[in-house]
Amino acid sequence: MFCKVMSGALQGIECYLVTVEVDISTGLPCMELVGFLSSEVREAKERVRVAMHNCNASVPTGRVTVNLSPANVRKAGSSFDLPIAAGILGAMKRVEEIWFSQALFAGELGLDGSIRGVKGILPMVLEARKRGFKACVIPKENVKEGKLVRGISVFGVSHLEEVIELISQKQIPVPEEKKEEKSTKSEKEPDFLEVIGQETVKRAALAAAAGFHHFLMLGPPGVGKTMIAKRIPGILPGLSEEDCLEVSKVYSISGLLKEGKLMTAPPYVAPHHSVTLQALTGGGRVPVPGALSLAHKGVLFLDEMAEFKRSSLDSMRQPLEEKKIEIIRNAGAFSYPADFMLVGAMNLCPCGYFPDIGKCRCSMSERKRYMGRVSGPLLDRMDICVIVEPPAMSVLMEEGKKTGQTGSREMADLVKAARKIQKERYEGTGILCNSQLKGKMIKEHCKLDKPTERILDEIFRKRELGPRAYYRTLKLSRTIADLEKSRRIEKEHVIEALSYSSGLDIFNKGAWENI
Amino acid sequence: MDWIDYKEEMPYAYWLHNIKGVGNKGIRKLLKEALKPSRLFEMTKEQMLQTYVIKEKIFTQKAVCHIVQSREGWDVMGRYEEMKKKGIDFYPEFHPDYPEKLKEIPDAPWAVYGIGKLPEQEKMTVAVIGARECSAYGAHMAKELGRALAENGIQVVSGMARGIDSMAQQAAMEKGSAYGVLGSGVDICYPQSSRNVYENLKRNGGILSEYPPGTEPKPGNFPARNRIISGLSQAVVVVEAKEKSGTLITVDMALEQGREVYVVPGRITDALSAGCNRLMKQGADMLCSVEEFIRELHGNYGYRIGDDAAGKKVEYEKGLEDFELKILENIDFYPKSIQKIYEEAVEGEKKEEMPDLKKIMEALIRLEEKGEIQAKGGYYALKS
Repeated sequence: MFCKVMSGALQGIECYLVTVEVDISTGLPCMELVGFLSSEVREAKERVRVAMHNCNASVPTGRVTVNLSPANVRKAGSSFDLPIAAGILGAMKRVEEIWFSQALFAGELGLDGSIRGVKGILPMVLEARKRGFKACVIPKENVKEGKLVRGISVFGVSHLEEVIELISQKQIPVPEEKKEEKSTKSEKEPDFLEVIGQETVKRAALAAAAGFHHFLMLGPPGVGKTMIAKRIPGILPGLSEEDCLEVSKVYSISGLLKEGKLMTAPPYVAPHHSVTLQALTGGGRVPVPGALSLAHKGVLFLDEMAEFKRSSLDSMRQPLEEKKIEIIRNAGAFSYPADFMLVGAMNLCPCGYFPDIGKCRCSMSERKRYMGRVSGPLLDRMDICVIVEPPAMSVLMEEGKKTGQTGSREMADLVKAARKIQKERYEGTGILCNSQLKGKMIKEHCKLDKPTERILDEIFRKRELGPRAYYRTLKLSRTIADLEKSRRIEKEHVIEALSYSSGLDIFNKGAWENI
Repeated sequence: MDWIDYKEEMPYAYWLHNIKGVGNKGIRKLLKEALKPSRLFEMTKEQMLQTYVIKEKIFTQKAVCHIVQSREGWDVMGRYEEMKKKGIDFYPEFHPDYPEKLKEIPDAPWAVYGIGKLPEQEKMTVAVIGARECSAYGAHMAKELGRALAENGIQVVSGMARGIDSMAQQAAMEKGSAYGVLGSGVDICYPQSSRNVYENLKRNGGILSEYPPGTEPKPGNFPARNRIISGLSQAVVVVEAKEKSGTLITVDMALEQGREVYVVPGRITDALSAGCNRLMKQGADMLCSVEEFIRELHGNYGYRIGDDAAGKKVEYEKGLEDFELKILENIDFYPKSIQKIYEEAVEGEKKEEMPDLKKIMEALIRLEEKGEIQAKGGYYALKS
């Protein structure tokens, strides 16, 4: 009496198929689970035995052997309960043939036979569809997530008895389709209209969003740095279908996919500065994605950047370059995507008020130490750096009277148009926006005329900046030109770019001797 | 005291000045009876006890024993030569080069040590002092004063601290000479950040201290050091000082010593000018322009007015367009962000005439290119 059913397991954000083989033979009554299992999978034995007993389908007295194949990959998680139960039922001849080869099972069992939700349903269903399966049997809790995938029948089950009934049918029935609820935006999204004044910072944020440039804001506390950062995802264009699935997969395996909706908007992740290295990069014995991956294709906001542990900040250097994180653990090598826009905010000294000497109580060495907490290589990747200062009283008083304020909707339109230009220009090169430009491509796409080049050279000489800053400025100029729908990079675009990137020489040695 | 044989007395004076726990007053009391350091050195313990404890009752027995002990193992000639070898000069009160001006002050140091030169007696000396954490305005004024004073043949004295002190000294040394007075031994560079000023002072001026070589900088030494700074000068200029600042101690000393006190005024909203403005309210002289100040100094002390001190008005019309000029007017020594500059430029303008951000950015870049202003980490400030 042998039977096998299919299930899935996660490796990074991808899913691979696991075959659950069950054999019931004569011998002393016992149940044996093999296949490189972690303890939670081993415990499935008891859950399955009791749950089946409580559903009037007791495991027959005999030697039951369960093998999860491939046997050389370590398996973790509680999603194998249901496939094991289904396999035993199959070996008991209570399952129709078609469910063995055409369906994928995943779910956790309770002792009473109830079926509980598991993580990572989306990648599993996607993999099932890719392999040509016809059906997926998953917990009801996760059914919304599973149904996001079209072209495969997804059954949400809440009790083992339902499963027994379902898999005793000769044909795979058509699952009942629930009418899709039109999602209404109940929460009011934060809007740039609420930011009073701060024209330069808003303009810089616009450029950052348009080219997916990393963005750093410096300034005293309480001037609206966090407020601005929160509004950046709102002006980023919505995710493409491909990105949407990829981001949703990351959220699915973290169990964070809200109400079974796909992630259509760019995510916004703002870890507190006490975050551990593992929580940031992802990790654990069986790795789960960290904040960097949860911010994939969206915004990672680090408030009080200088307060983060140096090791945490430096762990971002590789993902910033590679756009993904490689984690190697006992269970194997995992790779999570991490292509995010880094938005940072920090003060210029421990007390926060520098360069307002009237308020600042820090000594020069304290300031230097504070600024030194953020390493140079990380700063080098921040394409835009701006100073945020409290708006003048007169600006605050005029609130409401002014009509010229730009809001998120206008800004989003500008970003969308600029992205379209970039997408067309970089068609077939594998990159999507200006911040990804490298070496040769910068030379090709960021040409300047002679007088403009001369200005750039002169300013760089004055500010004593290096080649990395030079390329940074060129890429940013390209984005600003795209925002203005200009094919060529004009003088004014370079000037604007220079105005945004000057903030970084704040960190250069000696810049703070006497402001 | 007329010391014809002062050279022979020097090694003994060095010993006398190095006895721990015996200060300026103590040395003077000892010499009142002994007359010469060498004679003191050769006195027996009994003689000393007889003179200072029993007869004059100015020292305790313990203090005398301490003095006697200090002679043991003190190689008079060797120790003196050792110091000379380090390039350190020693000027006790009776030395002909001992600064005359110091003799005028109350609690004058009995001796000073020096590396390099001593301030020239016939030249005028001005102290430029101020805050360690100074603003760009303060830095600009310190440099301006240092340079202008030196150009007019006036020596600059200061404390070599970070900020105003060292900037004034550094600027002065480019055109003339400057002197630094330390709160540690002259062979110890404190603060370490002023290392280059220290090295420079050795060549283009001098370093002075009343503390024996090797003395570590102690907080208590600095107020005392300040009395020498003001004591060496005819006038003291305070460039920037907070309401509660160590600089004000020097001012008190200066007034006690009858020195002129000048103050560089600032805006009343600037914390760094609060101390200066307060001093002015209390009657200190205001320094309105550097040239005028130098003329006043010369007038008061009867010196010739320097040739190049003639009014040098900063002229901005170097091909700057009107708009750039307007922006430039709003830029200060105090750093401002683009946002601030923008807000100031649009304030009060009619909507149609408001300059847009781009125009301002362009003006800023052009001003930077011309060297009128400097960009410092996202902030813009006048070039100091």
